[in-house]
Amino acid sequence: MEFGWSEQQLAFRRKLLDFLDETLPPDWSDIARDGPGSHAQMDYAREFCPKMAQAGLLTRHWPVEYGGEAGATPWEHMILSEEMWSIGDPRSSGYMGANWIAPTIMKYGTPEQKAFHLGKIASGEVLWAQGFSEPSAGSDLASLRTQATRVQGGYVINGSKIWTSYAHSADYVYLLTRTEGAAHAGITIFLVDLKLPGIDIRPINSILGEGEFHEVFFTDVFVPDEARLGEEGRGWAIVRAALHSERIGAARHEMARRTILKAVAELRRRKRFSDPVVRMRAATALALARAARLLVYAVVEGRVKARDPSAETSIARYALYEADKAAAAFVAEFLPESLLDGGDGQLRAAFASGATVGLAAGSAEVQLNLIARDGLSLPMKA
Amino acid sequence: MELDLDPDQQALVQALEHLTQPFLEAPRQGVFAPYAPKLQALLREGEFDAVQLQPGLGPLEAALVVDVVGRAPYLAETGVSVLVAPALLGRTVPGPVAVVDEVARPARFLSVARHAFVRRGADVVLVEVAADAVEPLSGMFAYPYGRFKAAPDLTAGEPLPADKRTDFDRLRRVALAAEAASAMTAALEATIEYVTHRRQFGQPLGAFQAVQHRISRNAVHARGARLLALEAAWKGDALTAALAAVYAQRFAGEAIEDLHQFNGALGITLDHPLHYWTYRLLALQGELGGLHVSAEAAAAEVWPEGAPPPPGPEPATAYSQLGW
Repeated sequence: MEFGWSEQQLAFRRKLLDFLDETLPPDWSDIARDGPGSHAQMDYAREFCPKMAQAGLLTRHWPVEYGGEAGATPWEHMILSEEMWSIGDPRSSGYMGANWIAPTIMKYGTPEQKAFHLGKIASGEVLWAQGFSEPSAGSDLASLRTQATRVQGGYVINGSKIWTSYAHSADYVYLLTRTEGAAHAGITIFLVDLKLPGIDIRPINSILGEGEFHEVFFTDVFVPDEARLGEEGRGWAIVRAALHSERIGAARHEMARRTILKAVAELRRRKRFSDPVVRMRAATALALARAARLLVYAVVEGRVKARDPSAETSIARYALYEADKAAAAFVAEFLPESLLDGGDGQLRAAFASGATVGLAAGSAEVQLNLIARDGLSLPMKA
Repeated sequence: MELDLDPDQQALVQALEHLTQPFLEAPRQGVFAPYAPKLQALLREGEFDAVQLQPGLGPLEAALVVDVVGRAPYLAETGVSVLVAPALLGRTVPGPVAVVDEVARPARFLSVARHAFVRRGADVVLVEVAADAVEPLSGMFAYPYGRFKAAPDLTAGEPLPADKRTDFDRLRRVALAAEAASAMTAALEATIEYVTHRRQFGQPLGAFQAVQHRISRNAVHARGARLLALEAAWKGDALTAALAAVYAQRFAGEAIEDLHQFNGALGITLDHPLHYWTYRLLALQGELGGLHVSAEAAAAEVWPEGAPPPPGPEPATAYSQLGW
């Protein structure tokens, strides 16, 4: 056990920071104001992701056979996530493609799917949305009902998705459907071009800012067999593995830490940081972020050692939830003007993120259920 | 970064688990603070107090000693004698070693201590403690407490060099965090055992979601506190030590409340081991001035008094971990 970074890892972080300092525009904080799903940020991601790919940084953490760098480990992936997410992630949904969509295509995709999708993701030219939640399948995701019916040469999809981030500008959706069977059996994944006829995307206004949520309706949408990822009815196993990545994929501990540091810098400039209660709250929030970081690192360690995903992921995710909430609460209580027009965009985005962290990627309560069942082996109700 | 124990660390933990095995069965004589001189002596004989002085080992290994020993219901003092003192002095001091921040105030382990670090103004002096110089105190905390009957003669003691004084509080915070994490872990394990077997309303208590969720939260906090304490031991910086103490003290209260709640009236009895850990946590919550002092120690590291704030606006990448 040791807690240091290798020279190679430090150099990688420096390279990322240099790239960001050279690449991000001076008004980045304003662009980031409404979060990674906003029109402004997705438009910017169309510029940013290809530049990042050209710099060899977007998918450096991938396996070598898919263009990653030799010697890169899950630690490099985490460093990338920390440096991106902490500033509001200029990749926008580009992070999903690189983080968990591409890896599931590497593992379960056909040679043709790999040839078609991986190159596009690696070059930063496509953005994805995640078609998981439905009106009647939220925290109980496996009860989803969007139907994929087998027809000649493919499937016809009918149903709807909701709370879909990034859908307004994304090119593809990673879509969970039901083919046959109930609950976890009978779930099938499709990689769907969002421009196909029969797909209707409607924004849902939210308190978090524009672009955050959408409904996506599928009416007799034909997709060819080639769009199916993995075997029919075996999608749950794939999505479970993907969710384990997704739960710590966004380095919220680092966003929480920088939110506190940014907020305190502003409070100090305004001479409002001498109150011991404010200082205590700031330090406590930092402690939560630091603990979350270590619990996330324990999951990364598991990946380095190729261990099966476990309740460690849910433990880390719950700690991220606590850290993110503490940072958001600090901003709202001690620097409320940052949530008004003219305030710091990154602080506003971080606050909004704190409002969703307990809901996204499996609710906080689902994480507690998983810790109880899989981590602590507590008895289940008869 | 390597969060698994290496083979040396695993061997250390296994040796400690073997050593503490006879002390895992809770005492039945209804004592509140079951200090075990034999366990203390075994740790000394096995040179576990010298672990961080061994080549290739350091304060992290000392924190592992605190971690493992702290899970036993029987008590030995490890925080100061294994972690703090050898790091400061480069040699061991026979324990228990107490810390007396104010001569007139009660101190943990002082009633059984062989040595004590005594603070006098800015100075810290290591003194031998004679049994008849101390008045034992009983009370609500599951540690042996004592108080000097009269101010000890510090001129006969060994003053800490001035450059070690800031390390003194830093290391105490690491020890506090490691000890608290250990108590949280042990109390949690005892509670999981209980709610798995205790049935009410036709179900094991642990099958109820209201119980599961609170236990799961405590598992997050116990694990987080342990990793933070170990990181603080390894890094050796004042900020990480303060953050580790903050985290442990922030969540100790929730652990005490929840774990007692789920053990019911049985958990309040002296026959049940739960209080050995929860009432240690209660003491540790107030140690070193409590949460607000630990938090201010962290704040002072990140935002030192008198340092000007950075001019705004800052680049988006300000505050990367590179400078952390």
